[in-house]
Amino acid sequence: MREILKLYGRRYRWLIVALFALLAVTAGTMVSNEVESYHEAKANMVSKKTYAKDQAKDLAKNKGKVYKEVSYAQFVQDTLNVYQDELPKGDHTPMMPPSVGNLGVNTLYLLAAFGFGLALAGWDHFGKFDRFVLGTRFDRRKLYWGKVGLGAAAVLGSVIVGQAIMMGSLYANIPAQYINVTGLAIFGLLLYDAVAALMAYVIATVLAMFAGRLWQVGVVSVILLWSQTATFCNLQGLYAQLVDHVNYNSFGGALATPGRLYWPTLIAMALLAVGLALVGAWGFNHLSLEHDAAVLVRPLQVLFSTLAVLYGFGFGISWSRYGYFEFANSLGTPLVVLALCLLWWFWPKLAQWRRARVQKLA
Amino acid sequence: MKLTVEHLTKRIVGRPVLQDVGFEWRPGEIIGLVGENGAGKTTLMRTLVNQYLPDGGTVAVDGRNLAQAPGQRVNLIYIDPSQVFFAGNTLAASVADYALAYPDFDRQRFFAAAADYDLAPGQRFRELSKGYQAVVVVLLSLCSNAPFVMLDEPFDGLDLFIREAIVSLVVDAVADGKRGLLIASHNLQELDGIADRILFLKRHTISHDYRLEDVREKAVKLQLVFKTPELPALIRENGRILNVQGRVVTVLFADYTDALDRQLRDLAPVYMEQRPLDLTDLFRSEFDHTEGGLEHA
Repeated sequence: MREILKLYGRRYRWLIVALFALLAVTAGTMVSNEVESYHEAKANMVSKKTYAKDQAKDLAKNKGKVYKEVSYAQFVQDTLNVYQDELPKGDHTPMMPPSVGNLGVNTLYLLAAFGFGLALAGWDHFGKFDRFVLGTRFDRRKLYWGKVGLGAAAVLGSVIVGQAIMMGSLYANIPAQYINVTGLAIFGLLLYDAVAALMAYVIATVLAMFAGRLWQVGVVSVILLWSQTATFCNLQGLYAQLVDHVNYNSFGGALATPGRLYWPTLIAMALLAVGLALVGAWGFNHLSLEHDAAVLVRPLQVLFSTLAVLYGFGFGISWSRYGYFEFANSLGTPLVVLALCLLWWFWPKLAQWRRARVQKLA
Repeated sequence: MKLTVEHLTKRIVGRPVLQDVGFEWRPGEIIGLVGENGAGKTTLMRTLVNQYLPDGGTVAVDGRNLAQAPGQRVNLIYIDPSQVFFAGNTLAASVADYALAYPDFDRQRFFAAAADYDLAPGQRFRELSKGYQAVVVVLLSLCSNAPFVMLDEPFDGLDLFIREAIVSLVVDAVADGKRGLLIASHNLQELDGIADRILFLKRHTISHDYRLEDVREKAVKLQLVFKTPELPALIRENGRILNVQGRVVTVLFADYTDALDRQLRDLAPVYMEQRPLDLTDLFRSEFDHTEGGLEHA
């Protein structure tokens, strides 16, 4: 395994450096924007006197009505707090700060991890490096886990570094009293970002490793990136409805703001990452390279088709006007995907049959 | 050390490419792998190194099945010249990768040999001419110190000097008896000069395994002219017609005995002369579906 890691480490070193650099720079940029906002807000802060005058005016305006007085100290605190409460009440979780945007779940991490996986696996596959390693003395399973594991470690490391830079820089530049996030929330955010990034990395790696053509990788990647928000939202909504009996209209979750579905979403992402990685290991062990450039790379056609149909189902989930799951109306998209997958499966067999028929006639 | 291939079978897109292929290979031998285009030579090589998974059969080194003992694949090397991963790499980087895959890789020998061809470690593979790319592939293969080296069309499209260079490298490589080469080639002339054995790949299997020394001892190629236009049955029963030009027929007799010689002379041919036998003649006798260009009714 040491030699395998050396081999892949040599090959991927600049990709890994680029990933770390990208996430570090991204984190640094986010923090510097936040620090700038903090200083701007502080500079533009109304004075205590002005605040008292404004509050007196509001009080007079709302005489007789319910009006919550907010002290100047609280006002300053609320204004300068780094993490603003942007979520509906039901969508809070102690595992994450109640914010959206880059200080919350960073979708850039997912994008970077996805791109990293595509680059890593795609470069080996389409650059013929897989051909080389498969012909060497290394056991296929060790090759696979060496490659995927090294990349996963890089993704994990870069997320940790990114988060560390972010939190470290926040604490270095903004007084701690205004960084209103618990240790649990920091940990929860890191865990969520890491698992989501690993999931994105594994999906991209398996896609690029087994797709027969570069255009397939491109098309599937675009479809996944375009549809992933809606799909996650739908699946989370379905889960919430089945388990918590919450209708979709009152459900506010999403991939970046899972709220009460933090743990189910995290577990689902982890299971998907592990499951796909195991599927990839099996596929790599059974990969015979005469199929390498075929549009559909065996031996994972059935599995990929199943995943595609399930994903299509997730994307195409239909909700009634009142926010309830409509099974019949949700079948359209998965059926279309199933039809495409069957065509995909039978196309080479059709071509074979046509060839045989032409030979027979000749 | 011995590499044994037994009952190797491979189907691609439902069609058999290799069926019941079997042979043995020891270091110290240069084996020519000969077959028509599409016969499965490259498929065989790719299957031996596990790039293609066989549908049946085994490949073993000293009795150890490579499917169960992948570490034994350190004894084989095959660089597919049409599928190199290192086109954009420098020679030094390519050597580093191969040295990790083949622990006995001799870097010093590689760079010394490369210097003989004015190839610098910092040069990129794709910047080299086709001939020098072929030399690099051969050098990487030989410097791996794997006992079983496979070369796929190493002479293809190369000029005389590069071909001679490759032949020289190949011959030197087996001189100490520690390395064997399996060379797939259509360049029968080059193979003829260096191969000890020839494997004919025909109809998806090894149809013949000739030791060229034995063949040259037993086989004879004769040019014959008979009084009658009809060829005597003896010719077709014992020989393979390679060429017919007018009344002159060139025949290969695989097993030319004294008895056969007497029988031929009894037929009183007008002209009978022995011609030098080469690998092209063997290839033609193996694969030509016609008799010397004429369809046999």
